[in-house]
Amino acid sequence: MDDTKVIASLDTFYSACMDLRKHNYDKCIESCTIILSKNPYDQAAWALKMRALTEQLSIDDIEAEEEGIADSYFNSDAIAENARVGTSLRTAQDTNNQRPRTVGGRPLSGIVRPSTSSAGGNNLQMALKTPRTVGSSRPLTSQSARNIRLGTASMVSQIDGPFINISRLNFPKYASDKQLSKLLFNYIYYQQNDIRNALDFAVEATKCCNFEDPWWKVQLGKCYVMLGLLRDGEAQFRSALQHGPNIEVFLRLSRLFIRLDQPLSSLDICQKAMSWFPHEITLLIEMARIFEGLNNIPMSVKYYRDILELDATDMESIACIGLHHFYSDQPEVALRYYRRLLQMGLYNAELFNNLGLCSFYAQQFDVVTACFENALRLALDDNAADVWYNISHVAIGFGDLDIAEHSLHLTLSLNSSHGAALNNLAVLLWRKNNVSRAESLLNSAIAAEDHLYEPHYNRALLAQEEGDHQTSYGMVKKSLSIYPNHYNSRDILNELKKYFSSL
Amino acid sequence: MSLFKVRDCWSTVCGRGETFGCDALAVDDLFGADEDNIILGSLDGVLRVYGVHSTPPPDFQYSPSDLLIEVQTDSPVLQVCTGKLISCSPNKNIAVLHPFSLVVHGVNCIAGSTDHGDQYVLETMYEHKFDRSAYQMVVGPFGGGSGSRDFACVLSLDGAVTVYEQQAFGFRTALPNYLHPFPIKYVRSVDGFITLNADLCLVCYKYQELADPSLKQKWPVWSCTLGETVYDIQTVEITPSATTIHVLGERNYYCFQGNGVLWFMKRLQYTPCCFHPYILGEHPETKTMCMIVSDTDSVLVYDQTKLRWSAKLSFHPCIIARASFKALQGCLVMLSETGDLRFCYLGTEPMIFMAPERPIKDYKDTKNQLVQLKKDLQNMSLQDETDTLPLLKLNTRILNLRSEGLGKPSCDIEIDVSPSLATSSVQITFQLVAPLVVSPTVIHLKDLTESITVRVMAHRANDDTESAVSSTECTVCAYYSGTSDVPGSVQQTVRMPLTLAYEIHSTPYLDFSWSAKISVDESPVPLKTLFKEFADSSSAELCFRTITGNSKYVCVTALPANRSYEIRSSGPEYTNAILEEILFRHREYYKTKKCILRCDKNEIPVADFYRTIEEHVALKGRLDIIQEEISSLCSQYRIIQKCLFNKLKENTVLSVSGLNVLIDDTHETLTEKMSEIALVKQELKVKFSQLMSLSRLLVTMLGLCSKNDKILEEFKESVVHFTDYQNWEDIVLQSLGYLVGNQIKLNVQSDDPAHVVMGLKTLIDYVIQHVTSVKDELQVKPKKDNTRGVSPILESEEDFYSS
Repeated sequence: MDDTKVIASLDTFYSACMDLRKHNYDKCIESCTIILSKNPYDQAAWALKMRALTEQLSIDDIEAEEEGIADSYFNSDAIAENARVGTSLRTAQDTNNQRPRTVGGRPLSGIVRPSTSSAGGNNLQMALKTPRTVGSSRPLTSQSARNIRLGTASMVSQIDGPFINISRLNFPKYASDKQLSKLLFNYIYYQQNDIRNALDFAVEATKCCNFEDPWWKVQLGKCYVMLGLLRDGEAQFRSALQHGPNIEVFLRLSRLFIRLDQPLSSLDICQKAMSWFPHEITLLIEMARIFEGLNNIPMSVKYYRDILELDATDMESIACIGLHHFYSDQPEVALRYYRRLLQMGLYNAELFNNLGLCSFYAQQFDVVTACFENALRLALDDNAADVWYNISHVAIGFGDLDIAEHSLHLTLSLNSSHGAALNNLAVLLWRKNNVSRAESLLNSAIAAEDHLYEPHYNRALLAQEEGDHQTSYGMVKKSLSIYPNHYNSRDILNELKKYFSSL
Repeated sequence: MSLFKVRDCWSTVCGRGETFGCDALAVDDLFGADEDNIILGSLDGVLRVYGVHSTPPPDFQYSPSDLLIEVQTDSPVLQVCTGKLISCSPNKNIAVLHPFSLVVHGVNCIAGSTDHGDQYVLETMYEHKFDRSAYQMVVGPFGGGSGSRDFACVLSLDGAVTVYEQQAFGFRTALPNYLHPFPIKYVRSVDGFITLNADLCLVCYKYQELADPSLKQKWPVWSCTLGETVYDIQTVEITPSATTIHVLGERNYYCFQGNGVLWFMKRLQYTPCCFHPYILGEHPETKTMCMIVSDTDSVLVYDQTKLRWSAKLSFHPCIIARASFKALQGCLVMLSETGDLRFCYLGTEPMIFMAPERPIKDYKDTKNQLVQLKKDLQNMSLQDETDTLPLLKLNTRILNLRSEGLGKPSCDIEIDVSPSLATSSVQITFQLVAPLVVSPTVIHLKDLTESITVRVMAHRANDDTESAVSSTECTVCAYYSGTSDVPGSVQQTVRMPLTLAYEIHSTPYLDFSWSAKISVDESPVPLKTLFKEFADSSSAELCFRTITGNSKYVCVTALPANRSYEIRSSGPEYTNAILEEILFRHREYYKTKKCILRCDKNEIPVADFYRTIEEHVALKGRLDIIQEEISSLCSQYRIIQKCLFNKLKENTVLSVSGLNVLIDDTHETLTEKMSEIALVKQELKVKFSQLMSLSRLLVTMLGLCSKNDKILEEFKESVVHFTDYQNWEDIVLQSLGYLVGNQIKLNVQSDDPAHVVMGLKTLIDYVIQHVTSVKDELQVKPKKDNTRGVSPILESEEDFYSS
C-alpha cells in the first residue's frame, strides 16, 4: 500500500478547500500560495487565500465591542443632558445600595464583559480613573485608532510581503464583481482593519447592486459605526432590516443605541427582534444586560432565567443570577449556581472566591478554607487582593480580628488603592484605639475611591468624636450625597445641625 | 474538567497516518438488517466498511471482525454515499467519489459456515470517468419518481454539475455565479439542488431547470442572502414531501423549509466545526434535533433552538454523525482528521482531576508558627531605625617591611576598599604622626563599584632623621559620598611595625636616664613571646635602638619575679612607642583574661614634660625673633635696592659704591639668617615631636594609673591632637582651662610665654592629680593667687578667673 503516492494525486485546490473547512488555516494558505505561484491569475485560489486569511483572524465583533475612554468622554452624541430617571445608562439611579460598586461607580455585575469597564460619568477625573484593565493592561484609548481583538491578535506574517495591496486595488472593478466583492470586503474590514478603504469599497458595491442587497447596507453600517458616525450607521441598519429580519442587524442596532445612551430604544429594538426570533438567546442576553445597566435587577434576572431555560450552559446567566441571590441574602441558592459553574468546568480564582464566600454565609464552614486556598493558589496579583479582602470578611465573621487585620494588610500590599480594605482596616484599628492611624487610613480611602459612602461616614464619625465638627459636617454631607437614605449619616447631620445652631 | 463528557464505547483507528476529508463518512443500513453500517473513505484511497456485531454495553467494544471490508483504491476517496444505484437490485450500493471517477460498488455477504466466517466482498458495479476534478457528489431520486432509482450528481471544482442516471450519463451544466465549491445537497420536496453561490446567497435550483439544455441562464427557484460562508448543508426528510434544509454558517445555524422559508435560525456564540441534524419521533410529533461540534471540542445538542445537552469531547472531530445498532441505539459517530473513529454516548466521567491534596497539617504546629510570626511582626515594626550600614568597608594590612639603604626602613600598607553600593567619590587619607609619613598622602577614587586594593608606602620623612617617633598608630580614613550625595566616612586604625623606628641592639647600654616599671597582675609575658620578631634568644632583656642620627636606647625587661615590666631608656621621649606596643601586645596575649597593668604615678615624667614645653616655647620664641629679623632685613634690602635704582636713574657720576657695600652686607646677613632659621625650624620639629611623644607617654602612663577615666579622656583629647599651624601651647591652655573650669585660678591671661607655661603647668598638675586620685582624697584647695599681672587691655575682665 503506497499511501503517500495516492494522496499526492489529490488536487491542491481540493485539499485547500478541505483544509479551510477543517479550520486548518495555515495549510490552506500554504496550498493557495503554491497554486498562485504556478498561476498568479487563478481567481479562485486568490479568493480562497483571502477567505482563509480573513477567517483566521475573525472574531465576533459585536461581542467584542469596547468603548474607549476617549470615545466615551468626548462623545457628543449623547442626546439628553438631563435624562429622565431610568432612561439613561450613564445616570442610572441605584435603588438599593446593597451591591458593592466598582471603581467606576457602577454596581458590581456578575461577569466581566468588555464594556463593563467603560468610563463612568461625565467627569474627566472619573474617566481617567477608570481601570484600564479588563483582564489585560491594554489602555482603552480611542477605538477608531485600532480595533481591539478579544482573541490573540497574531500578526500573520506573510512571506512575500502583503498579500493584497489595497491602495492599488481598483475598487469599481472589484465592487461590481459579484463573486469576489463580499470576500474582498471581509478581507479589508477584518484582516487589514482598514475601515476607510472598506467604506469606499462598500459604497461602490452598494451602488453596483442598486441598493438592493441588504448585506452591503449592513457592512456600510458597520463601517459608519466604526468611524463614529453613529446616526448614519443607524440609518443603514434600519434600511437593511426592511429587506427582512436578521438577528445580526438587530443586535448591531441595539448596541448602537447603547452607545448613544438610549437604552429604551435599544430595548424596543430587542423586543421587536424577539417577535421575529422568539427564542434567540443573544437577544435575551442583550436585554438582560441593558436592564442590569439601568439597575433594574429584577427584570435582568428574569431575562437571565429565560436564557437558562433555553441554554442551560450559559455562564453569564448563571453568574449573574448567582450574584443576585448572594446580594439578596440567599447565599445557599447562590452556592447552587456557583457549584453548577464549577461542574461545567470553569476553574479560576474568582469562582473559588465566590464559592468560599457563599459557603461561609450559607454556614457550610467545612469548605470555606479549601475554597479560599484554591482561590489563592489560582489568583494573580489583581485578583489576590480581592481574595484577601474577602478572607478578612470571613475572619471578622469568625471573630478573629488579628487574622482580619493581617489579611487587610495583605490586600493593601497587593493593591494599595483598595478603598474598602482601607476603610475596614481603619475601623479595626479604631477599635484598637489607634485613632491617628485610623484617621490617615480613612483619608486614603476617601482619596482612593470617592464613590464609597462608608469612608465618608466613618470619617465624619471619627471627626465628631474628636470634636472636629467642621470636617465631620463636610464628610457627612458627602456621605449623604452618595447614599441619601443612610440613617446613621442623617443622625450625625442632625446632631451637627443642633450643635451649630446652638453656637 | 466539565462534568458532562462524551464517553466512547467503541473506538478504532483507521489506518496509520491516513487523512480524511469532511465528507468521508456515510452511515446507512447496507444489508437491511436494521443495523447501520459505517462506510469510510480516506484521502489515501482506502475504503472501509464497518459493521458492529458486538453485544450491548458494557461489553460494547471494537473487535477486528467489525471491519467488514477494507480495500485500497488507487486514487483518493473524496466522498462516499449510499443509494439504490443499481436498477435491478433493491440493495443499497456504495458510491465512491474519486477526483476523476465515480465508482459504484455493491457489497456481497457470503455467509460462512461458522458464526464468524462471514465474508464480505466488494464488487465494482460500474464506473464513470470524467476529466474535471470533482468536489462533492449527491445521490438522490432526482426528477421526482418513486424513489426506487437513485441518480448521482457530481459537483466539480470549477462549478460544473454532472448528473449520471445510474449507468448512463445524464447531463452536464454549469452553476451560475460560482467561485468556490460549497456543499451541494438535494432537496426532495422541491426536487432541487441547494448550494451557496459566490455572492454568499443560498440558492436552490430545480433539477428540471438544470437539466434543460436550452436554458442558457439558470435561475434559482428561491434564494436567500446569508452573508456568510457555509461549512455544511444537510437535508433531513421528515416526510417525502417535507424536507428541511439545515445550514451551518460561520456564526449562525439556519433551518429552512423546502420552499425557502426560514423556519428558525440561531446565532451561535462559538465557532462551529461540523454538525448533524436528525429527527426524533414519528410524524407528526417529530422533533428536529441537531448536534453541533464547536471549535472548543464540545458537542451541543439542540432541539430547534433550545439547547438540550452539551458535553465535552476528548478529541477534535471533523465529522459527526448518528448511527443505530442493535446493541446501541442512537449513538454518536465521530471521525477525526487522522482516522480516529469512535462511537460515543453522552455521559459523564467522574472527575479524574482532583484538586491537589492539601497536605494534612498538624494544626498545633501551624498555631505555634502563627504565634511566632505575630511576635516577629511586632518586633519588626518597633525597630523603625535600621542601622545604616557603612557603605564602605576597609580592610588594612601591613605588608613587606623593607629597608632601602641604611636607616631608611619602609613598609607597605595595603587597603581593600569594598563598597556595598556604588559610591561616586572616595578619598582615602592617612594620619600618621610625624616623622612617619605615607606616600601618597591622599588617594582619590572615582566611581567605585567593586572592591579594589590600594597600596601606599609608609616610611620616615626623608629630611627628618632626628625626631622621635611618638606613636606607631596609623589611622586610615575614607571619606565617600554615595549616590544620594550623603557623605560618610569610615575609619580604621592599624599599627605600624616597630622596625620602622627601632632596631634591635645587642649590647645593653647602661647609661639610662629614665626608667619606669609597669606592674602586672599575673606574670608578665616573656619577651620571647611578646616580641616574637625581635627576640632570638630567651633573654629577659631586649634593647631597642632608635634609627635616628644619634641613637637613643630603650631597654625592656620582663621580670616575672617582680611581676612587672621594666623600661629604661636614655630619654623618656623615645619610649612611648615601645610602651604602647608592650601594652598592646600584652593585652592581646591576655585577651580572654583581664590582666591589669599599673604603674606608679610618681614615675610619670612630668618634669621632663614641663622642661620640654619650656624648651619648645623657647625655640618658638627664637624662631619668631629670627623671623622678625629676617623680615626687617628684607625691608632694609628693598630700601637699599630702591635707592640704588633711583641713583642709577639719575644717571649721575656719583659713585654708588656705598650702596653696593650696604646691599652686599645685607644680602650676606640675610643668607646667614636663612640658614639659621632653617636650622631652628628643624630643631623645632624635633622638639615638637619629642613634646608629642612625651605628652602621649604622659597620657599612656596616666591611663595605667588612672582612677578617673572621664577626666583622662578629656585630657587626652585636648593634649594629644594633630596641629600643624596653631600654637600647641595656646590650644592646650585654652582647652584645659575650659575643662578645669572654675576650680582653679589662673593668672590673668597675657601673651607672655612664661605665663603660658606657668598656666599650663598648673593646669596639668591639677588634672593629673584629679586623674590619679579618687575624689574623696582630694583636698579642695582653692588657691588664691594674689598676684595680678598688669594688663591694660583686659582690665575689664579682671575677675575672669576669680573663684
